Amino acid sequence: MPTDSASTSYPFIKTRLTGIGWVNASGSGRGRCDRAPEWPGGTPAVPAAILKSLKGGSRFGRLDLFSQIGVAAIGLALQDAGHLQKQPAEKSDNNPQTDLNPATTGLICATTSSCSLTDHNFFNTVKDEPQLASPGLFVYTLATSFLGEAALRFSLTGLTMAVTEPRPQAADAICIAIEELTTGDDEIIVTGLCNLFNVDSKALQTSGALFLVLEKETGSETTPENRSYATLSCNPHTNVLYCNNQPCPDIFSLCKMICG
Amino acid sequence: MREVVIVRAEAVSALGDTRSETWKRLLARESAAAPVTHFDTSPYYCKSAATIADIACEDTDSSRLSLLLQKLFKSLPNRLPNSCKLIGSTLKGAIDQQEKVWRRSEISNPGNLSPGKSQPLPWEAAKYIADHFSLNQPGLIVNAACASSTIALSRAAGRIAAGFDDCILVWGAEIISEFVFAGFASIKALTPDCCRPFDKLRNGLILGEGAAALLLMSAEKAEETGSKPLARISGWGVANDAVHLTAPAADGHGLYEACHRALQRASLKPEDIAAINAHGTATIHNDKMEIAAFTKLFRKNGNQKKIPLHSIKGALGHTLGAAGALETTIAINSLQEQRLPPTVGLIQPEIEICNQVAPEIQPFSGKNLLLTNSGFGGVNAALILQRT
Repeated sequence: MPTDSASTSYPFIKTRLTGIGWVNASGSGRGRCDRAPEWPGGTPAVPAAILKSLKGGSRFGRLDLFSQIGVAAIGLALQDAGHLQKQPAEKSDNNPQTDLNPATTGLICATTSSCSLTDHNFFNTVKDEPQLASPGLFVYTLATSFLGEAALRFSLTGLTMAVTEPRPQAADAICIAIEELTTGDDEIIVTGLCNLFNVDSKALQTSGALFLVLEKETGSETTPENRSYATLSCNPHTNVLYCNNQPCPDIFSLCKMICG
Repeated sequence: MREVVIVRAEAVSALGDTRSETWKRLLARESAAAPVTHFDTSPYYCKSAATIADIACEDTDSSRLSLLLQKLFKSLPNRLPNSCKLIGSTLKGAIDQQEKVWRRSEISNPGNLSPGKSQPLPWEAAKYIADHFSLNQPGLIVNAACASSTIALSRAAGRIAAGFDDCILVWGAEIISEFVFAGFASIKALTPDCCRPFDKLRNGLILGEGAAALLLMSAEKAEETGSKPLARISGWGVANDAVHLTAPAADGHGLYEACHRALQRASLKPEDIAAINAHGTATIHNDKMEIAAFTKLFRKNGNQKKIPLHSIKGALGHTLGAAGALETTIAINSLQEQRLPPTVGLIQPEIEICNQVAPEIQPFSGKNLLLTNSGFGGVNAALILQRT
């Protein structure tokens, strides 16, 4: 059990980490199949197999890239946790279905870039011909549009929100997820980050989407897929995040601690 | 769980620079809808919005947002109580500033987007607020479409109720930019004439700009600091429709679930609710969805309880991420005075709620008010405010 100045007055709250999924410039992966993700420079892309499987659902091809990588990473994380009936790549027709009770699953995402590239693309249509501004782009000019896409694709009907952060870390988003699992209405929360930076920036190494599936501690780990990777805890007073009682500054180091 | 109270609530809207002025003009059935003058609306089928007249800054690189926030600061104390944190929401922050950068740019350069070079727009707005209060951290910035500040209030209430914090200032702020105006025009969500929430002839929303700030405390902290509670936040709930990216669920099941969760948290039954501040954007689908959700929520044993409800968006426009915070400040007045402001623009109410919504002031009697907001991505949020 970690100790810090707040531990005497505030109990640490704990959850199980059961799934990891990511999409970045090097491809995509899941915690149970792949090593911890590297974050090379370059524009992230959803691998064709994943894209094809998700394209069977409505509108995937219309999603902006920011949404595509976010939705795909969420799908991979849910699959890794054993909450998709089939791996997304194996689904070829309908939307992937989860075996979750949809009333209990929320989505909390951190973002630094938000959908800025889509904003810019949309505004170009406004500049060119205002009366023909693109509705198809406008609907993706919210940081949470892709969470809405993920919610309807995977039938997730809990809390849905994004938090803006100055640097990609996602520690606050993960702490909020842990808090919500303890004091809120949801039993499972998919949390992580999604970023798509300007291709000219030096922040490319952090472009991509990385999501975790967190679940309330129930003691009922019945299937191998439902094994926990780790226990995540948070001091809600200081918002310090811990992975198996070790302080963890951000989501990237957390994944390295778990996946090697 | 600890009791959560609101001890300060301030607002700047297109009807006034303070909560009391806005309230007074809402009661007088005024509408702030007027032709937009700070950008050219000639390409658009809609020309009007509820703008704030004296925050124009066309000739400089500054933003309407900073002028809007400066107005808000005038009603707030310069210092916040010790250990007070911030939770805020703005969907696009100073997007008008970014527009100017994009307009000047001949090449397809998205501008300053990389960390360390320039911060995200909502973060810069939050930092501006933190700097005003001499706080080191801008705090949490919530984005959940048009339910953003409602969820920000939920987050704050949840943390205080759980004992994680004692005092949180929740803010929401939104300006009208061509970016947002063109976007809502592109999806045909704007009305070319009058915004008529819950009216049979409604045909769209008007955008509004505004800002609000609410200081939340535990009851103990309020007593300790000698702060008089204006209202309690006794319940909150959030749920997603999971049916469509932009359209709400026709049967209102997500909103129903959000309200149900809020009632459960407050240990209340639907019949304990005395009044409703609805989202009421005046789009065909939103208002229909809300009517469906409220009808289901307040039906018991075949009988339909007719709870007075209203929407302020015919008067103040839709302030997007700031809507929940702004409407909460108005709801405090509603609870204190036991009357709902007129639903401006309403002529012919939808039949299902014809006895619940009115173009005049509606008196009510009771201590619990339900406030709801919904948004793109299927998000629904509900708060229950309680008279102190």
